[in-house]
Amino acid sequence: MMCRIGQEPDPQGADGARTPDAAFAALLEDSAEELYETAPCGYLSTLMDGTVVKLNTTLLNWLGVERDAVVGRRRFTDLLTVGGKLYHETHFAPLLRMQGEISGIALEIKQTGGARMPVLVSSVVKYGSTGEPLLIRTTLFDARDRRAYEEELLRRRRAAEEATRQAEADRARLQDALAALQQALLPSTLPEVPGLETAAHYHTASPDQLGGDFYDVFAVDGKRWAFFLGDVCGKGPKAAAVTSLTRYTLRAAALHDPDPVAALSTLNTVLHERYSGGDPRYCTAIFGIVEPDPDSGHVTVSLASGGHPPALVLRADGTSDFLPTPGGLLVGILPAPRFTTATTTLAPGDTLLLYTDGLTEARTGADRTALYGDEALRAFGAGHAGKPPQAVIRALIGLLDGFGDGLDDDTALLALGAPAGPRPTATPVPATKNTR
Amino acid sequence: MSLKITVRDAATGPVLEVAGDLDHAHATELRELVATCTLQPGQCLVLDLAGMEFCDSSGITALIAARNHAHAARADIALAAVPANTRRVLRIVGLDQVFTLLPDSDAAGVTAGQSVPTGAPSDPNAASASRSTCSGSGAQQ
Repeated sequence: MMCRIGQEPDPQGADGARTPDAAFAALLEDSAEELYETAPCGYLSTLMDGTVVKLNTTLLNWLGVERDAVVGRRRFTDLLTVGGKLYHETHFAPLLRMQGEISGIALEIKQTGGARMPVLVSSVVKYGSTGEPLLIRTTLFDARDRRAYEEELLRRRRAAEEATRQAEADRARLQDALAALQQALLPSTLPEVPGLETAAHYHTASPDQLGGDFYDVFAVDGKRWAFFLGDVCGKGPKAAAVTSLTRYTLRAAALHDPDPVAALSTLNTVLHERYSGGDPRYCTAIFGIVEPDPDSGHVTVSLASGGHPPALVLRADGTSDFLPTPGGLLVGILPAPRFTTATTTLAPGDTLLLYTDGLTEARTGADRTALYGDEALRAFGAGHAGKPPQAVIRALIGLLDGFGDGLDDDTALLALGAPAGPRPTATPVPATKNTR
Repeated sequence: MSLKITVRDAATGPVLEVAGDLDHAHATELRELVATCTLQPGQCLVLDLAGMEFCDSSGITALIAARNHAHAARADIALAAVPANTRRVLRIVGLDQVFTLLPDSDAAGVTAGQSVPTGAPSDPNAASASRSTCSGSGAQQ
């Protein structure tokens, strides 16, 4: 036979015969009376009206009373708490009468001194030889540990539910904070500019990621207005911090010196000083100045680009062309970069469109491998040339919506237009030029 | 979608062959590897992009970080065999004038020799080339 360490011996030998040990053990349990009195459960017998006729010592000890105080003097329901008594009368007793037995009902008994003890109660009806009910026999099991365990489970569950509620509240608060921060990165409304129509749109790729695109329009002096639009590398809080720094630096720089190259250079100095080294942060941007001429209805535009895709000009005559700004460098990576300038004049009905590369880099085609691209944008612009900025932006929003999941980046759009107005234009089509 | 970077030492300095996607999920691997590269003044860190299939703005940022790392060591940096689409992006953001672009990494020797800063004597640099190393030179996943 194998040596079995740490296990109880078999109650019987391998041949099925009683071992001498088991035979001896049986002698220890030869008294049914003693087993009844000291069993690890309460025994209770009552008449059919509930009057207690017999109960064991275990139950007496739980109740904390003398036998004489109970037998013949109390009913089973007298031993129960008020709630238990009610449950007994509405459920327990009717079921027992109907079925002749009932088991595992959780009730509480009253102990001397006022304490309550949870028990699991089972009862059977004992019938006489002619089938008439004689007695109810009841066992009561101590359910204190079980109750404690259940209460612990409930407590844990409540704690988990509370944690979930807290997490949801935190999440909502965080989203509110993100929305507030996002709004601080963009103007809530564009200012009224005399002699200029404006419209903008911001497409957020992900609601819980702060985007890195930005734009703004603001007054420089009585005649000139500044505008900018750009794209900070990366996403999330760190990118948003750069976006915020960029927006307010450009605003402040323009008030100091509205020259587009000077404004971008100031921004470059700030970003380069702040973010040079192992974690480079930079942006692409177009910064420009518009000056509407109230007499002619024309708007002169002077802008500079730092690594940003070229602006698109939609002419009232139905044509559309890029305003090229090649060679301008990303803002923030070199101490003294070159920015490329360009100027144009918007005649009444002309619109200047600035955009971020979310638009031109949107993936198109059935397999989402082709890019929307510059030429498609130019053609789209020609299709909407002559419309005011609001209508152009509306059309572009429709275009963005059409990209579906092919548009996976934030996209900012800003359109500035010379109002078509009633005044007939006698001037020739203004020329566009760019310098490096 | 993965990134594989293989490091080898050329006479001009370390050459990092970047294959796969240099995107938001993987660009950090290049940045971390480059940060461990020990460069001698006058050497040229070459990023061979012949096997690069995709590069987004995170990838561009990693390239700029590599440039900052090289310049901090007074070394040069060059991009070799840049795929057409990335070359287009580099042109839009003006980086085609900031990085030395090579047709392939074998051209590094010639260009690096030419681009040694005038302040740094070229002979001692050539002698120190063999001391260049990047941590775990060999295959990096």
